[in-house]
Amino acid sequence: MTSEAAAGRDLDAGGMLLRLEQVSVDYRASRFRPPHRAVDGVSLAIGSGETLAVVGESGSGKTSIAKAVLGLVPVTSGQIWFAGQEISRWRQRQSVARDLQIVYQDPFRALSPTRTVGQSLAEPLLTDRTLSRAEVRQRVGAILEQVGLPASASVKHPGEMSGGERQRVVIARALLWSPRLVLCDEPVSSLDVSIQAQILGLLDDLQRRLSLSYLFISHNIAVVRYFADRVLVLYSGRVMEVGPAELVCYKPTHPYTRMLIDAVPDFDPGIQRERTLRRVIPASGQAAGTSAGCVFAARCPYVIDICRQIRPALQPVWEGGPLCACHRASELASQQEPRPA
Amino acid sequence: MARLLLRRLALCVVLIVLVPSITFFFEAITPGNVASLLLGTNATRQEVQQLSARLGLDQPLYEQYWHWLARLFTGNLGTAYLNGEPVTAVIGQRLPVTLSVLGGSLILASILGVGLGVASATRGRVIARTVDVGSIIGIAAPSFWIAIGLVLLFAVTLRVLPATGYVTFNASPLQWLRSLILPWIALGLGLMTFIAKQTRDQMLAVLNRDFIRTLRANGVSQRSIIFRHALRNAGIPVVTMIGLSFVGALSGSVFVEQVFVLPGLGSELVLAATTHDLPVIEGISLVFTIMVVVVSLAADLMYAALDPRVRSVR
Amino acid sequence: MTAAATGPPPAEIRGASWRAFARSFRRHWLGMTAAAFLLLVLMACLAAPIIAPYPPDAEDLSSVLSGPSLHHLLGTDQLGEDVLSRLLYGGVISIEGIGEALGVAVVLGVPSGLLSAYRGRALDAVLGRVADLGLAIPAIVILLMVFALPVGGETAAMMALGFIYAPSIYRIVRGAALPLREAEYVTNARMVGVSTPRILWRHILPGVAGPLAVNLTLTAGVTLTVQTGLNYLGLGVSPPTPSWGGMIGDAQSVLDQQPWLLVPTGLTVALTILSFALLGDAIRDSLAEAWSLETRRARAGRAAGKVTEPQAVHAAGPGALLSLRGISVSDRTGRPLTTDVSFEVKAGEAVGVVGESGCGKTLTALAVVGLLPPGTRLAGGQCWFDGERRLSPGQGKRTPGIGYVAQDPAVSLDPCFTVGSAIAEVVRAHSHLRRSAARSHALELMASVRIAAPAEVARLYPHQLSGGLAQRVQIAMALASEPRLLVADEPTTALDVTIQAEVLDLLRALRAERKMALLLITHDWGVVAGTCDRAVVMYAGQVVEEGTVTQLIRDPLHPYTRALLRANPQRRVPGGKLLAIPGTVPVPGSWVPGCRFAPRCSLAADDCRAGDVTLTGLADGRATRCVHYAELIAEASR
Repeated sequence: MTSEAAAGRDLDAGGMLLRLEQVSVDYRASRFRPPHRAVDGVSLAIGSGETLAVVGESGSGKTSIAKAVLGLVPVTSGQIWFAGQEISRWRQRQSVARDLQIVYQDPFRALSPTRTVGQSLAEPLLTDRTLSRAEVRQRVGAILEQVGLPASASVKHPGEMSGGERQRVVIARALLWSPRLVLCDEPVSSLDVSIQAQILGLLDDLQRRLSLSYLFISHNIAVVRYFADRVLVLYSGRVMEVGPAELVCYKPTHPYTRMLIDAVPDFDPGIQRERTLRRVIPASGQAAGTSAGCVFAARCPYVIDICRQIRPALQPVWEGGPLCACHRASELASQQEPRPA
Repeated sequence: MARLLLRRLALCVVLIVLVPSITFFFEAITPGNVASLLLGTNATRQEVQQLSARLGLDQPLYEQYWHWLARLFTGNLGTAYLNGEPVTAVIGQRLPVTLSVLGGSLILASILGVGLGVASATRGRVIARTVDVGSIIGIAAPSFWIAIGLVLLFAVTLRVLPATGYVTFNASPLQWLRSLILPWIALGLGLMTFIAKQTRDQMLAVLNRDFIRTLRANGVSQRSIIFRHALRNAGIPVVTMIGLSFVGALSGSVFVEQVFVLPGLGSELVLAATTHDLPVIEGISLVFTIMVVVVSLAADLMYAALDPRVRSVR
Repeated sequence: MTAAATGPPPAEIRGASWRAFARSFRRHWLGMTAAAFLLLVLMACLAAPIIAPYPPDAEDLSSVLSGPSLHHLLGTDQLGEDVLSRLLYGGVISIEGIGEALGVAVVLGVPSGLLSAYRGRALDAVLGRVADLGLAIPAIVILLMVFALPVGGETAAMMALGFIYAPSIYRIVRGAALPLREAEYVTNARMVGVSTPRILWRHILPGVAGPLAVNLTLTAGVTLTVQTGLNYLGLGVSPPTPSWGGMIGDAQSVLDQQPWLLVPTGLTVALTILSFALLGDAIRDSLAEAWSLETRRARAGRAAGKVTEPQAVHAAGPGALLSLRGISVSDRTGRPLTTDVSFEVKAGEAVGVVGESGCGKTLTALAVVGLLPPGTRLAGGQCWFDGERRLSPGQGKRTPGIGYVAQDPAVSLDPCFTVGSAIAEVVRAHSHLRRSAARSHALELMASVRIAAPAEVARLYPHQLSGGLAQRVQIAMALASEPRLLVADEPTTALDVTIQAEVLDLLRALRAERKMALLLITHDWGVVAGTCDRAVVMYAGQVVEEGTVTQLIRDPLHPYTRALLRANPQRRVPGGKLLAIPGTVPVPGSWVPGCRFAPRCSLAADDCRAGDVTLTGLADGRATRCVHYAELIAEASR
């Protein structure tokens, strides 16, 4: 069956909140050079109240996907559907801005350094003329409380707060209009581990209370496997594998996913040493987009001839199973043992 | 890299045509007749008309411009209103003087400035303080004031150096040097202290960077760190700044030539300004523009030579 | 991309609130003095008609060229005019001139800079070219040209000067505004529909205002120089109107009769220009300080903890390659940054130093290498390496036999040199090989760190290498000195996960091949688990636990270690919850007396807060700084 149909069967029929269909994003450095394809035919879908994690390393295109969804970069081809509307060609995103929000990686860049937290939070509210100042103040106080900050935080400047507190403010701002989908772009990567756990806990909590959906972008597969319902693995702009988190993170099929999982060390030093001995080490570097054949072929330990010639299609590994873009998918799937947790 | 150079060259060509054209158009669009300016308020209408005809000022504007442009490309810069000499001749006589003044002070200021900057970044507090104080004086005092002060001290009071005048190198190298020492100091002091401060700031910034720490940790000698690594990295912005400061130095040289009565392009320019001698102004402005362009081109080349990131196409 | 835990914000995004800036500026006495002086000059000159003792052209031919006297406080010139009065009236000309020039420059430069940064590529390209042209034209030429024309005059010249400055104002504004356009808080505002003018005013302009203010003050100084010069040449104003430049010119003509005349005008001009320069510098420094986190937090918590006496937990045993005893690092003001750090590294062993940001692990590593950053110093403790006591493992003196690999390879290699020559230089620093021999040895080193084509890579510059490759180069450089101990400070944090695994494998292999000890600084338990034999856990400047990696991970004996492991998603069993640690890591200066983890600890009791907790040594080389470790053992066995 086709991958599109499989994608439909992969999710429940509640209607998808966000759907990307064969989206590609090109960047042009200059007029004289061919464009660089940062995102290449990516399709994904998120339903209500669920978390889809997009995992990739640098150069994978995950940030470009976020920017495309937000309308910050033009979509070269493909469609983006949000809440039933096709938004990829829209320049103005105000009408969806209330339902589609973002939490950024670097809280320093996400908040204006010269304005207080209260002012930064009030700003989006003030675009709605129907609210009075008192109402705005009240809502700012309420949202601060919801993310676990005291109301007194509103007079502080971002520079006076710790990293974790700043990130809470960014989350608070995203929640102001009760969005339906929050795009989280590496929300915990710049935080210490102990604070990371706090923020992830907060996000989890908010999801349950407010029925939020998350598009969670990260390079850290350990965080992702804890947090996500479904996982999509991206390499050099193309989808390598997508499916439920338990499957993708614990029984990965695609060679790249396996490499990613393997790179996360196990906490039992004995098991870890054993894994190290088993690991196959390829050469380094993500290849640039548009070659024929599988984009991962240059680094793949399981590569065969066909991999270099024909680009593998994203297909279910088994009936109703995760989708994988590999010529040897079924072979690899049947070989593997369940991986240790 | 090649694109950068090409872009620079294109800029040069545009400038060389543009700057003198500005003079031309300024004059053309302002009210009042140049001829009557030259002859003064007592001139009769007829005299003004005769002069206009002689100078070709009664032709339509675009024709004048066309002729002027054509002349420009054949190297003819016209003749001075004041004394009728060809402008190229005037420039030819005065160019060596300006080059001596400018060139000498730039070279001295750069060498001494970089040296002082490095020393104050790496040696003790005394030198650092001296550079600080010196840079304050250098920034604050206008070059011509310093020049006058120098004349007062060395020429009037001590009588060791001439107050004014210029001797060509061919006539007597020693006297040439003597006549240039005070101008070099006057023009170069500000430059030198500026360069010293920039060099010191850049050296300190570079010495704080991570790769210096790595080099130290791996046992590279302090000497090599300062002179091979830090200086080269610090040199990149310093070279750019020296290039940018050339324009300021050019202005300064005009004043210095006035104070010391040196027969250079600068003093000629001032004279032309007061006597409304437009061809001379056009000619000298062209020469100055070419100088600025050459210097910034040289600075760009040095920058590329020092910084491999600019050279490679990435 | 993996980022290190909270670091300072990028320079382009920095901003400061007015409060912070004012506070910072008040402490710059030089800047304040300069500002006061300028204000004084401004007021005095504007009040000239009121306060000047004489009209500027009143000639007193009875006292010509006199020095300072009772009637003429600053003397008279060759026409008997009072110098002080002329100085005051002349100042008005200068003030007007500066105002005109700066006004034109700002009106032209600021809007074009903002639009260029904010609006779009086509406009930006055009304006950029125009600015390039403008910057290349020699100013003096234009100015003199203006005077040569029939309309030429002081005002026209000053406005022309403004035109000449406009391109550099444009550049400054554009340069400051451009990175702000990409800042997430701006794109967010755009997305929620905040109008463009409001964005420009509220978000972009404050970020631009700082550099603009600095530039304008410095430009004011330059304008004064130029204007004085023009007046000196006799252009612009004609006698008897006084001007500072003209007065200097007058002074020059009577230099041999009354040299004093040079002084009052010259000094005033010089001091004014100087004040502009100092003011500009002060504004720039205050801006930089105002938002600096360090300053703020320092002000917040001045309660400094004491430096505790170093205590020997284990005797410096035989076979210990590196031994630290009570190492304490403090900053310039005496505030401790690490206290009483002690541990050992045996030959060939791999020891990890684990902790979150601000715990002092990097400072400890730098102390070992002998390269504490400027502004810090060793406050106490001793260090032995290879049996020898290192007298001052502090700044400057490097310890031979120890190699160092830093965190971010992109900034740890000199960008001006090829990697081959960089490695060869280190080789030469440690041997007496000639250039060619050093070169080939460098290639060998590169091969030993598994670089595929050493000869080709050696010709590349650091910016042309990928992260993993650059890190291998750094390792090769560190190996050039044949170290017995390699100190690696977060060597994989800046790399992709899959590259991280490769680099760690490499370090492991090198250890085995060269029998080299490894001191690995990291915040990542997974790295420790895979690479190290033993580990030391640091929190708030102290060592809180020590043991083998297996022991630490299976049976942590300090609440912080346990909490950290539980909060780590790498470890978590599917289905359960991540246990967060409440509160935040205390910064140096805000450490509480007693156990520094007590405010966040679930086991905390009064005896924890009573006094400094010592590091207790236990069997099998373990140590913990928890008074209640027995409870942890009990809980674990339940």
